[in-house]
Amino acid sequence: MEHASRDVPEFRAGATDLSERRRSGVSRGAVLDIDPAAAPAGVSALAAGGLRIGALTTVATVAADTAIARDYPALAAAAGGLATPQIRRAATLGGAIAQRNRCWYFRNPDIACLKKGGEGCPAREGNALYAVAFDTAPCVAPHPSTLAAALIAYDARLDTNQRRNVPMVEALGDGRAASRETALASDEMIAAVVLPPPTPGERAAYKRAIGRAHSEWPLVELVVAATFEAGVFAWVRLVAGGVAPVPLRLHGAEAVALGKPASTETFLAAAAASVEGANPLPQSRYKLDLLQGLVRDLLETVAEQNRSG
Amino acid sequence: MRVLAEHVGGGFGSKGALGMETIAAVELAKASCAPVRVAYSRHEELSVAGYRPAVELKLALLPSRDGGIRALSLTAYSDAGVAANNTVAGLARLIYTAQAKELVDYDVLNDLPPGSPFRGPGGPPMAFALEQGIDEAAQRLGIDPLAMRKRMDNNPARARLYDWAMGLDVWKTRGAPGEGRYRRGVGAAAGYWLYLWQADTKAELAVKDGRLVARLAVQDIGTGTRTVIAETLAREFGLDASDIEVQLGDSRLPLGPGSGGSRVTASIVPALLDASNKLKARVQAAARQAPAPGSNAPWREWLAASLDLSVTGGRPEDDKRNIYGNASLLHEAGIVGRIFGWMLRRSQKMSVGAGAPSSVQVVEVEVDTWLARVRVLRAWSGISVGKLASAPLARNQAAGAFIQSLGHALYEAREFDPRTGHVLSVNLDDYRVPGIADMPPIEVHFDESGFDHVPGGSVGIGEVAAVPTPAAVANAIRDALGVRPQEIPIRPDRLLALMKGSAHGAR
Repeated sequence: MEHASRDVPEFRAGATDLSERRRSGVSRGAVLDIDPAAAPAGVSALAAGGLRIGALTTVATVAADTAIARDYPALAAAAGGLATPQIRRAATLGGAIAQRNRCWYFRNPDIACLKKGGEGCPAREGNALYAVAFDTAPCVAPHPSTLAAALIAYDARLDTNQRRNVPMVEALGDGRAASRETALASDEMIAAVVLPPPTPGERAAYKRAIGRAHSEWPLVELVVAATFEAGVFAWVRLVAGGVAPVPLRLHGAEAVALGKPASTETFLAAAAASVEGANPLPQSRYKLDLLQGLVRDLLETVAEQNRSG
Repeated sequence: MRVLAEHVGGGFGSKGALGMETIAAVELAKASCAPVRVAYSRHEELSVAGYRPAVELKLALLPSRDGGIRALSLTAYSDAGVAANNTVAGLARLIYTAQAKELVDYDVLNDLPPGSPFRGPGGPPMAFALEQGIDEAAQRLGIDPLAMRKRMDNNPARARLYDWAMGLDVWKTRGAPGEGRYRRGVGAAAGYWLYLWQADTKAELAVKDGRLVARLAVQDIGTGTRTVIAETLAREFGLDASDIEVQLGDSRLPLGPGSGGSRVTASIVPALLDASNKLKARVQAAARQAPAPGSNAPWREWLAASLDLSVTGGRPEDDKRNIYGNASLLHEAGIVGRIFGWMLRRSQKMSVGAGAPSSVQVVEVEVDTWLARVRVLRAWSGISVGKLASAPLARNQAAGAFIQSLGHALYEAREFDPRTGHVLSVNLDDYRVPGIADMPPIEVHFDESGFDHVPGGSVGIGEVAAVPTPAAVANAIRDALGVRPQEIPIRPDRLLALMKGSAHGAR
């Protein structure tokens, strides 16, 4: 009684996840290998400022690239902080954005669920230990992509084989789509990520709250990017993963921090604002504490970076 | 029927009995006269191939003013799915003296796949309750928890381990946990296991083409039984371990012990020593010429010149004269224990010997109160299992047991769908095992006295070294946070609930 995803074709890039889903029987459609010319690996500067990163660029390259590290440090930190060194060497930027969720119901070939084209979310009434804390879609699996969270922080856009300049937020959608974790069409392939011109003087940090030291899918993760003027938050982006069907921009917390001095009082107020509007499941309520802890932690971190120049 | 199991990797649980799948495979092979292979996928292995049963324990403890125990009540409700006969609370019979103990074990039967014996069956969960109870009593009485244990514990080996632990700098200098984001704590716990040995163990020792060959039907489950055999014989004959050929893992060989209950070393070493004595006598009797006087490797010469011959040794009884008055640990459990011991010997040729393999562990933790993560900074494991049959492998077992139990304490759990019973933790993302970066430096201390009545002086280590760890970690977290973990694994969600004053985590 195997419950596979609908037998739709799937693109294969690094195959770090696809191969496992095919082995388990969760994925059984045709596999489309990506023409390297259609999504060439590599990082190139754009004439008007900004970067274009080919979808087949590996996560390890994104983490190590000097231009990315200089101009988009939150993206570099996020890429260096996910998965394991082996996965980062093989996994690609495009695959990391379009990857399937980590829900243990979805991953179990014996269980049907919405994201496999079935009816109903078995996690919602079942064991929801790792479920969303902002319950805004029929499926309660958090969006799995760390890099998508970082790219939202930078207002990145995607080029696909069908469209150009699709804002990240639009490409990811609202998490309500059946059988995928993005709002891309089933035959739509990410070709490249386009980053707008950088913000000078940016400070950034990425961290995930996990039980162990490394190599664990985040319970909650947070990307922070900010600039300061005279010790005051002049620009700030906070994007959380692990808590919602798509990476969640924390507009409320950003608004609280903006224009305020980098003080413990500000960090705590932003942390409190970060969980406004949350509607966790009974089992996932703890994620709100972790989210607040991460907001406080990373705002303090970027403020300290700013102080020490 | 012949069983071959020359190499078994990591058999630390769920391997003590034939599973249904193996029995079915044997029947199929017999019926079809063709080979049948059984191989679990990871999904199958993590869902139906056995696991340490879950247990809920209720503990009540009445300490006396002088730091002893007047009364102890421990009730266990074990969940091994469709399997029964869990003994968890009952294990508290054999450690610490008390005026009264009420120990009750229940099985809560349900439709989930069967659990099975797993490294120190019942031991770590029992210690998780009892050792936290004692720690709590000591805290409330304002007594050093290790000194309190020493007062209520009549085991001389553990008394020495308590002294060792109380002498550690980390114990002597433990102080306030701090008020900031990161809190430090130090905790200790004790454990024991039964000293078991298999009375019908046989070991064949042969000289073949001048080379020493040991043959017995024991198996190496990744703990180094081959090396224990080779090193034991190397010491006896003044040879290198690499000089000795060891054959095991074959049911046609002379009967050896099963790899359970930490009984292998205490069964095979005495049988090998018995065989060694017999072989030496035979070789010397048959030799045409003795080695030259003053030879620095006389047995190398005796064996090189020897005809091919073979002897079989047995497992002799222990020396009746010992500090325990030859009383097995089961004697402390009264008439029921004595009857149980007699039945074990009669029905399974298994003996419970005098003395208790013992352990005392100390761990230092750091708790990140913002992100609810526990890091174990350093760990000390004091072990009393007699003389070490192989020092590096004993250290490996002690550290390995600590690592496995640390996983038990902080990370590992089977997770189910509450409605269908589907096991959800069927991959190594969702079944969380410790990684290298989660490991503290582990200092292992061996107290080698106490088992001189055992031929060879060595007893098993695999289980006793795993018993105290979850309790020691929990006691350290109690020291750091002022609140006591009551559920394992001590995950971030549970730690957060704990810090908010609730005993229960996300579920």
